[in-house]
Amino acid sequence: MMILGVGVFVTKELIRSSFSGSLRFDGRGDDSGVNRCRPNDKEKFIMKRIRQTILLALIFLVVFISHFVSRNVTSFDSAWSIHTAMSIIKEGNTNLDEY
Amino acid sequence: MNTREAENDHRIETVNGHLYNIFPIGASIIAIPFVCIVDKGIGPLLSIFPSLEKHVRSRSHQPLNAINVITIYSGVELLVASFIIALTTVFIYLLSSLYLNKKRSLLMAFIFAFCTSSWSMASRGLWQHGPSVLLLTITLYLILLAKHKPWLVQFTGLPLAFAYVVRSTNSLSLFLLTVFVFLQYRKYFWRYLLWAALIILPFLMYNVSIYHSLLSPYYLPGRVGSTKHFFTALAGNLLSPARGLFIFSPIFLFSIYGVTLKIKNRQFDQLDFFLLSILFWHWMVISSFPHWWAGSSFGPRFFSDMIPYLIYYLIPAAIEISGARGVRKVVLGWFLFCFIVISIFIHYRGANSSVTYFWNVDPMKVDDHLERLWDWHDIQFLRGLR
Repeated sequence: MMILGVGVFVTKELIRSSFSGSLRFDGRGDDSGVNRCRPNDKEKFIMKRIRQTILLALIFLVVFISHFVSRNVTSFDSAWSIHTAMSIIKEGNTNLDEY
Repeated sequence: MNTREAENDHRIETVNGHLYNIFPIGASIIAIPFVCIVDKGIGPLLSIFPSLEKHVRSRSHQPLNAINVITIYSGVELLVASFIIALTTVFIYLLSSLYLNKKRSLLMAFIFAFCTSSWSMASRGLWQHGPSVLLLTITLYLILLAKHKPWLVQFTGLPLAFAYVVRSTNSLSLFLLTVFVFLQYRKYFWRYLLWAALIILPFLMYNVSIYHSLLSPYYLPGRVGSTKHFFTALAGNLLSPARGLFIFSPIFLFSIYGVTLKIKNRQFDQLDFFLLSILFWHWMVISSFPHWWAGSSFGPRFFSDMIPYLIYYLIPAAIEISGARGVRKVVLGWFLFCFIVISIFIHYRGANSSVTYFWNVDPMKVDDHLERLWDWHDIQFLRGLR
């Protein structure tokens, strides 16, 4: 639970950071970030965040769907990974004796 | 599965009278939430959409007595792996957007998703490569954010340690990036170690409980350095028509260009030194495996873990191309376009054409006839087109 909590916190921080301007390869940021927004730009910034979140969701959906519907399924070396996950859930161990 | 079947399955090992998956447990741990959801949801879903059952049965290679997580495990693998690669693509976009505008960041995300083994290998099943790529991408993203917010670097311990639990060759990233954090962010090093210990200690305790050893046999370095074909493998992992990184994803030639640009523009920093060291030693290690061609697979499977780092070095190339003028811009842009188109075509075939996988065993098993790895008259990704 603690790791999950940390994960949520870090993810929020990552997303916030990714909206707050960009780095250059020389390590300097550009001037498009939220830290430089004036208070009356707050609405614009919120709209920008919403647009960016929609864009991220779209990227995820397009890639997920196009990969999921691709026809080849190659469960070779990975064939027992789902069984192992199921064994952890149902029996609390990682052995595959039940199969 | 009876004892005889288990003995004949190279993916199963018997430890103290129990059967275990020989491969690392990390991918299975990541799959747990998905397996829970499918396990609870498949019954209600089939009762709401009866046509779905017909569809699932029609896609199965063998008759199904019942539809549950175990009988449709390959479909569940596809679901989890596709989710992982989609999530990684989002992180690749976020990582790129630290340096590039929206359009070019989208291009980087597109290249990752459709021009690399992430499409033709990592999302085709729950191999170790998908989770490995996700965790290394998150690690790299955190390290790049730490340039402005140094305290974030401590959290790289979590994904980096988990990347090792997922795949043993990530020990290189774990070791070298730990040295990097020690040198560059010494103030946060102990916190970094504590976060990593949250993952590593339970992993070691698990190994002791099962194998009575800190590491499972799969993690022991016995396979490294045990090939007679080391120099052939070095060349093959880059240029073989069946396994070569630059043959299957020529777009990564621009990663080399990106590295040269960083050196030329005096932007080559300590992180670059460590990332290139990881790439170099990864190439050495996978070339020293006795089965350096990665068995029955498609393209440069063993190199797929390194995709996040290779994408990172595309960024300086993208910046250079966008800033170029005249003939130089046209030539570089044209090469970029051609390499993207070729890479998409190759990985589309790997993701969609089953004959490209039959290449591994037809007309004879590639494992027994290594000369096929260099046969330019029977190229894996062109199978079925002639």
